[in-house]
Amino acid sequence: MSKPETPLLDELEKGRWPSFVKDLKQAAKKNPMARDLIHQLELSYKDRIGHWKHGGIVGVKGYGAGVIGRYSDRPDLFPNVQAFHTLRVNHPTGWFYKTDALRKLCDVWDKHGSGLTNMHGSTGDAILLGTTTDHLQPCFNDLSDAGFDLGGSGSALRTPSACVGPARCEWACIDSLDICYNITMTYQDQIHRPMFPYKFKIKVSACPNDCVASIARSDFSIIGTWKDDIQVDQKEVLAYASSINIQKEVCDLCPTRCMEWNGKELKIYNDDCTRCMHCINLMPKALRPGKEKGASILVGGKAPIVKGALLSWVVVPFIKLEPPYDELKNLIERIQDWWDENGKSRERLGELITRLGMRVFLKAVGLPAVPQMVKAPRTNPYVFFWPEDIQKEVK
Amino acid sequence: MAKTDIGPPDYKTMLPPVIQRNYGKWLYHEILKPGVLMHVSESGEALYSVRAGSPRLVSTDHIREICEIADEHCDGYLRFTSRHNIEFLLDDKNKVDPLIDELKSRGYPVGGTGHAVTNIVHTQGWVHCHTPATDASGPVKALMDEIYDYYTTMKLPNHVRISLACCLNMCGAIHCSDIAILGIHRTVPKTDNSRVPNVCEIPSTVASCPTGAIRGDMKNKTLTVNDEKCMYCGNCYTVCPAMPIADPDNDGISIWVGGKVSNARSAPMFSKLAIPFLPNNPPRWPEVVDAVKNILEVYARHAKKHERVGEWIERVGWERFFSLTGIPFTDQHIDDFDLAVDTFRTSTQFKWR
Amino acid sequence: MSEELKKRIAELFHEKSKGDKKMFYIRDVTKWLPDEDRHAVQNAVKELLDEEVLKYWSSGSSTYLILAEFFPKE
Repeated sequence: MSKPETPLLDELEKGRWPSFVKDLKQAAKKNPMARDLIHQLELSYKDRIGHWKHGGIVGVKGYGAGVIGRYSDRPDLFPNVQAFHTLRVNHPTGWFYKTDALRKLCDVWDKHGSGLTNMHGSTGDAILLGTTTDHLQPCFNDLSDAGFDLGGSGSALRTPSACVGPARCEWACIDSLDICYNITMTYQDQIHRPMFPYKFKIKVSACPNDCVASIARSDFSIIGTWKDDIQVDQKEVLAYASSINIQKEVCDLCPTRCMEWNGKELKIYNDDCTRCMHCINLMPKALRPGKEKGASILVGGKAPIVKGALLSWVVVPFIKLEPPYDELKNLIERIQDWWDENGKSRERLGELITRLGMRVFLKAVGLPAVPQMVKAPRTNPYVFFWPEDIQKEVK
Repeated sequence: MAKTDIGPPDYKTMLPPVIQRNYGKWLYHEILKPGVLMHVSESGEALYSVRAGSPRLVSTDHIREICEIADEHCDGYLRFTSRHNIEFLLDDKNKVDPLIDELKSRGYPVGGTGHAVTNIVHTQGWVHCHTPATDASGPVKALMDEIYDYYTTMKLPNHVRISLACCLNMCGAIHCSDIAILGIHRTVPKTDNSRVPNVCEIPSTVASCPTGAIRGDMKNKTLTVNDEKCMYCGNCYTVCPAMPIADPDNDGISIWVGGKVSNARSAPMFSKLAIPFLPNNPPRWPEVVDAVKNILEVYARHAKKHERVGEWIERVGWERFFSLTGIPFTDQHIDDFDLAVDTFRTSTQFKWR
Repeated sequence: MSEELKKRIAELFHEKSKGDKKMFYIRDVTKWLPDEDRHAVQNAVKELLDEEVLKYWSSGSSTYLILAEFFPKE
């Protein structure tokens, strides 16, 4: 029997969870790039380091985004992955697919690339993993013919993403899919031709459960919410009483203790409710978000690079969101323009607001200060007033 | 010339008829069993979603297999979740069990719903990234093999979101996960002086450093790194391939706990450092797998129903978290970056263990 | 007007690329022309990119601009 070629990776074919090694080997049967990839990965498992170099190539005519240049640092050993670039393909909003569309994507990728993909990447794009420089343009052409386009990369608007929203979820306070698709189509130029100081991400979640993590992962977070009272069906509340302990699991875990349960009826003091979703999550058949629906807008969220991770901050407590979303898009453009004008290279929106101050930001983009924006007012006495607030000459 | 700026395919063309008919009209949902969601519309119609696990790194053959299953069982309609699961979308309850049987016979785990561990969001690692401090797919596979039963059942206090990023640039933005696995470098890039003049542009490399740790040495046409300022992001290697940062013995994995993004009950929170360093030990990263499993199981034993990992730790206190998990507390756990003082204790109220 | 601005930008790129530094951020370019409208400069740069006088160089996370003749060979 011959010696196994990839003994370390072979270990990861065992076990119950689906194995990526199986997929690598499947692709390697048909494709020399995938074959060299698996051997280079085996070397990484042996050496405990990666074997890729970056390159700045973008490679598609008219675009400055959507391709990540990648080169092997051992082309002597793995010539077929000497160049092994990634294409980011903008996913259908909500990651919904009909199989004919998925098969078209596979056909293009079998023709031009390694046959390996990520379904999906972290920003949301379908990732086509590994092709040569000469295949970039023809691959893009075929993708375009198949109805697909590239997503964002670099100092661009990144591919916006959205939760499943009204397509499947009873909690949707906004049409997250339509908003995301509308924004994506409106800002194609910003996605494909990077002109910002750094990346800019927009994510849309239709309720405060925030299934696309927009508060942590986007510069501009759109999160559905409501203004009026939670809708209650008392008959269904009573029905839940047989399967859950409403006092203990619902009322006692409510962060504002705004509910009372007497064994027959659930009373909600809606003025005290902060719309956390806990009670609704537990009793979806009995409780629903209110009828006056819209979104909260938060800005500044990001991962650590450069000055530490940030969660987005509330800047618009409530906005109605209905097509054509002009007010929303106008706000996005005002914010981007302020950031573009004042941001240093590689400074995210949240970092710029930290550097120049929230009050400067609010004034520049024309948003009024309201208590919903803070956990508490300032404790230090270093208070600044606008020049126009100061009496110039005392008579 | 191909058409540009056409954008993604319109999602409306991808929605199954049952969704098209009931878009925005859903009334409530139930989790019928692990991996099966039933959404009921005001029209009385129901949508059944069957959720299956995926390695995320999938071949076109694998995608075609998924298509074949979807064509046979749900008229070719499916979606992917924000955590890389596959969801088959059915309009008839009678189609659910035959689909699950087929998925199981082909080796797909069915689950990831409700109070479970769902698929691990992760990055490229050694498969395709140029600055990884660890692999991504490997540790994820090794860990999911070990905690598989938490995917296919719903016996945890609440759902547990596990994520992995292979370096601190965090393509995966994992900083608000119940349990985050983060690759870390611990040594500065090693400048190859002989190659710098040929492959690097010195001013851009200097500018690439987020902390200003790199100086250009124009006379000798090379670059120097200030060890005190470098936080090992590898951004210089991106623009200058003569500054590799990978270090097999000093690269490894750190573990962070207690983050969440949902607003349910408590506000969204960041994950906090639990374990500063574990070695890269391919192919199965046993130290990492054991550490995560230990945290998960201590949480499962001690948290109250509906408490997320972070909510449980906030209730019992971090001193209790370290004593229950047996994880040693070190000076790395104490923050020394901006706003570090906000994390220091300013009262005499604390627990002894 | 646009043609004139494009010409100035191209000239500035040649002038600034005389030393070791060849890659610039769009912010650098708008700063070279403080009296011009920022959006007009960005649009002129886009046209120069279309004409392949300039090229994008992407680190994946951020994007630079470079004269096509200086784009690094593989």
